[in-house]
Parts: sequence; C-alpha cells; structure tokens
Amino acid sequence: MTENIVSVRDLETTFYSKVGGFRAVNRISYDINKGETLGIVGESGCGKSVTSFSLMRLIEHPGKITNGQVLLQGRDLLKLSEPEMEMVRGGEMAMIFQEPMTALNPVLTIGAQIDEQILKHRKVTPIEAKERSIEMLNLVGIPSPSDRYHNYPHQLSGGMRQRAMIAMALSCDPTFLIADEPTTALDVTIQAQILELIQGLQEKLNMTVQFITHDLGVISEISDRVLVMYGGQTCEVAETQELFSHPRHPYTAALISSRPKFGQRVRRLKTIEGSVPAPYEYPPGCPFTNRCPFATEICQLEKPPLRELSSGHTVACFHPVE
Amino acid sequence: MTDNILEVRNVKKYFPIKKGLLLREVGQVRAVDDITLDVRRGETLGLVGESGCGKSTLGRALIRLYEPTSGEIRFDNQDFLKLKGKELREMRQNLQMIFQDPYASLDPRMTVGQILTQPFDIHKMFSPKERIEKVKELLEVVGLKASHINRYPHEFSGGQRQRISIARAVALNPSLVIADEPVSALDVSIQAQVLNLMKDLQEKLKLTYIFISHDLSVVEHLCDRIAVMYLGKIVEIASRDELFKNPQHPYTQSLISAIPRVGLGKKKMKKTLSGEVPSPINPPSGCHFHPRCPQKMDICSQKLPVLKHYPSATEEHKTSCWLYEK
Repeated sequence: MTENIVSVRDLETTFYSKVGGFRAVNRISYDINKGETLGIVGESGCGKSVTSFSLMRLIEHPGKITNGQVLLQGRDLLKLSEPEMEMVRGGEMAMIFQEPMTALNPVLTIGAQIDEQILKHRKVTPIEAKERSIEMLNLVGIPSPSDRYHNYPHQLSGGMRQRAMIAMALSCDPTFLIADEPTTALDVTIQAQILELIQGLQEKLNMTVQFITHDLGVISEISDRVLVMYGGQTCEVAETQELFSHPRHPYTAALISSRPKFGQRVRRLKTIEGSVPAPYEYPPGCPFTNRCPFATEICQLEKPPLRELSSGHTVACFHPVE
Repeated sequence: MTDNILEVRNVKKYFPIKKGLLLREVGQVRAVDDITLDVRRGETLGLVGESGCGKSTLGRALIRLYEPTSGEIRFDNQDFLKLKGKELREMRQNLQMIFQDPYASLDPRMTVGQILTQPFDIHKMFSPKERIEKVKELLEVVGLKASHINRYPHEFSGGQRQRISIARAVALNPSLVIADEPVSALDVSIQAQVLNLMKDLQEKLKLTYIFISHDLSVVEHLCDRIAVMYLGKIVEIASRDELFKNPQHPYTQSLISAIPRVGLGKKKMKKTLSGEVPSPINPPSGCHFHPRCPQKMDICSQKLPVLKHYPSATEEHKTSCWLYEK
C-alpha cells in the first residue's frame, strides 16, 4: 500500500484582469506518493509554476485560489490560517526557486537567512541555529561552509547560490520539497551537480519531491512519474519510462518528437504548428484543440475527462495516440 | 583543397579592467584567447561551451562588433580587420548576426516593415517601393504573413520575433550568418520550428552558419563540425560524428555525459565534473581545465597544451590535451 503525502484535488487558480478572470490552473488533481519524485513538465504559460505557488499559497493579487483542496499528509492547506500556513512553509514543506539571485535577500548574509528560518521553526538558541546552518551548507557541498556562512549572495557563483538555497529549503527537514526549475539558469555541468545533489538528499532524507521544469531531458532523468500540463490542465500522467516510450496524448507525443534527441538524428524536427494561445484565446473544450492534428468537433466543445488507459497511465484526450 | 569562407588566425579579445580615480588598467579579462579556426563554405560550425567560455565574444569579434585585440581574420580571402569605412560596410553585407534574445534585439518603436527595410536603407539598395516588396517577400520566406508588415514587435510571440530577426539577417543575401543562441529563449515546440527554418534557409540561400549554443543536443542536430570552448580557448574541434563518437578531451567527455537524455527513464545521477569554471581574469596555469580534470597529470598545471591532431582520432579531429602526447 503506497501512502500519499500530497493530494491535490480540483485545484483552480484564477487571475483577474480587466477583461475578466483567467484560470491559470484549471481544476488539476494529482497525488504524490511518499519518497516519490513527480515531474511536472510543460511550456511557458502552461500553469506549472502557478500550480506550485498555489500549493505553497504564495499566489498574490490579482490571483486567487478559487477552488480545490491541497492535502499535505491529510491536512487541507487551503483551510489553514495565515500564521498556521507560515509554520508549514519552510517547515513541513519547502520550495527551491529558479533564480537564486532574486530568491535570496541581497542585503543579508547566507547564514543569517538560513538561521532565520531555523529559528522560526525550531526551538533552538541562535548558536545552535548557526551550527545547524553550517551543517546544512556542508551537506549541500559548499566548500569551507563556516566562511561561506558570512558571505552575501552576490559573493557566490550561480551554482553555489543554488546550493545555498537548497540548504535553506532543507534546513528544517521538510517532508515535501517543491523544486521550481532549479537548474534552468545553470550550465550543464553545474546542472548535473545540482540534480545529483537533489537526488542524493532526497534518498538520504526520504523526501517527497515535486520537480518542475520545461526540459524534457531533465524531467526524464529525475522523476519517477511525469505529469504533462498544457493550458492549465493535465494532459497526461504516467511513469517516466512509459510516458516517453508510449506517449498517448497528441501534445506529449509532439513535444517529445520536437526535441532533438541525442544520438538519434533526423533530417527535420517535427514541429507543433502555431504557438501557445493567449489566456483569453483558449477554446471551451480541450486547450490543445487548435494545434492538434487529430482534433474533431467534440474537442472544440467539451473538456476531455482524464481516463486511465492502462495501469497508472491516465490521459485527457478523446483521440489518444495508439 | 577546401574552400574556406572564413579563416581566423590567433584572434584574441582582452577586455581591460580599470580601477581607481585615474582608471588605471589593473588587469585583463581574456575572453577570447588565441583562437585559430577555419570555417568552410556551406557548413554549419557549432561553437559550444558553458557561460563565460568566450563563445559569444568570439562570435561578435568575428564580425567586428568587438574589435579583436590582435590576430587576423580573413573573410573571402580579404583581410577583414584592415577594412575601413565604405569597404567595411560593403563587406558586412555578407556577414550577419542573429542574437539570442528576440525581445531585446528588435527596436520596440519600429514596425516590422521599418526594421526590415533598414538593411536596404543603410546599403542604399532598391527604390522605396521595391523595398516594401522585398520586405513582404522576406516575411513570407521566414513563415510570417506579408500583412504583418505594419505590426510592432510586441504584437508577436517569441518564436515569431526570432523569425523577424532571421529575416533581417538574411535580407542582404549574406554568405555567413553567425547565430548566437538563437533558440535558447524559446519553448521546445517553437525551437523546432526555428531550427527547421534555419535549415531550410541554409539550403535555399546557400548560407554558412556559425551556430553558438550551450545546448549540445541542438548542436548535434544542426551542425556539421563542432568546436568546444573552455575559458577562451578551443579545447577540441572535430566533425559532429567524430566528436560525439570519439570525444578526446576530458572536458568534452564530461560535457557530453552531462546532457540530460530524453526517454531513458529515471537514472542514478553519476558523478560528473566537480567545481566550476574559473575566472578568465586569472586563468589557471598550464591547461586551463586542469583544476577540474579527472585525469590530471603533473605536466597539465605547468604547460599549456596545443590544439593539434593526435593519432588516436581521425584526421580532422584536433584536441589540446597532454593525455595524448606520447
């Protein structure tokens, strides 16, 4: 029996503008098992980051979570008061952001920022907090951690800053970690180091991870299961290997074949015609309709329900690819 | 006899670091450090490397957006660095560039029509009426509509903007186009469209490309030959097949093994390179890569290896590494 640490049910996040409300996340549901890494992949504007920010309840005006439940170990985070939520953020649940330069406070030292979080969540003295911070910096592979403790973010390189942010996120032993494009701003060799670090720490600390990226290669190497998003909705969920070898949603299939694959050369890449529609341009039915080669009338009008086509492989499409 | 469109000999680009009230020069950033390279007519040459390795600086130095500190560049057998004024302007018709960020490289206050007629204005080609016809033709060539001519850049998506940049680059019928990370800012599905367009144009217009990128999968897809750069120097250059099948330099090897592969399923991450790219202000002695190299020897920190052919590889494959020196 697998145990769900995280259960998201019918989550809906709406952004309000002059022309009306736009559902950036449109009734999305998924579960993550204990110790598992769920990868969420999609192009810009598909709602993958808004989903993570909704889970952390970091959505700001003009956005609002308008429906759904986020259950973390059975507790609905959307029903908590703000002070209660503050204890969850950084405690049971932590997040790593894409751009470590903007996510860290430039006028405080790395050490002060990690201390602050530990002091908020743990009953410790400042000296113990400092010890813990240095221990964390050491754990994420920052050389001479007791010197780095006194550094400001701008004194570190991109890779080191990302390590410092991981140290901060993990300082209070979260059970659930959200990593939002943590390696996008980094070079390949540094990316490989950070992915290795996240994977190693996940095993060591038995964490559950939600990993968000637009990079199919990264997602394929780090996740156990993958969720593909388009236009704020789930297209397809499957085990990683299954998803890449038998994609059933036309969008997933097109996305995979539009990426140059290493060692498998083609003369021309397959493309997806058109581009992601603007928020107000989505059809009432399946969001991918206008770019889909298999679309029929029903796709325009009705939302395809998520169906389980084979064990653990669910797809929202009226005409799944064989 | 191979036909080289561009011959680069010992090109260096150092940026001075100035400090203090009198702006005394206190050091130099060796962004491009002694590069020798040939580009053959009709090929696509890939320049790869991590941020700060000097690949973009080299690209810009080649068309003299940065004046090289020293060295020689021969374009179509003419000494490109000696050209001035009118001659330089005429020569530049043949050399064009596509930039990474299609949001920053198009003037937001000009319509697409104005942006694309500029090359003709500058080079005083065609009558105003003909220019408009030409621009409409160009828009069709890059897959946009002629009716888009009066729109502003913000009315287009990222992929469409990159198409406009490409149209601008090919407007004057150049022979060499330097593309600096042209697809890095784009989504995967749009990347494929732009890469296909670049390939089509190359066939149609007989273009030579220098393609600068950090993404090895994209480079593998598009390029005929690939040069790998590290800290201002070329560490390895070979044909695409040879480079991926038989990488010689330890840096190339770890770069290739660090590419995330699509579709192999979750894997245990293996130990890749440790450490980071050192500063080009004060590069390590000897081989610049030695502090991170898993196969470091004593000589590596003392003497700089030269880029040359070693018997362990095929003929046109050059590496700069002491490992192969017998």
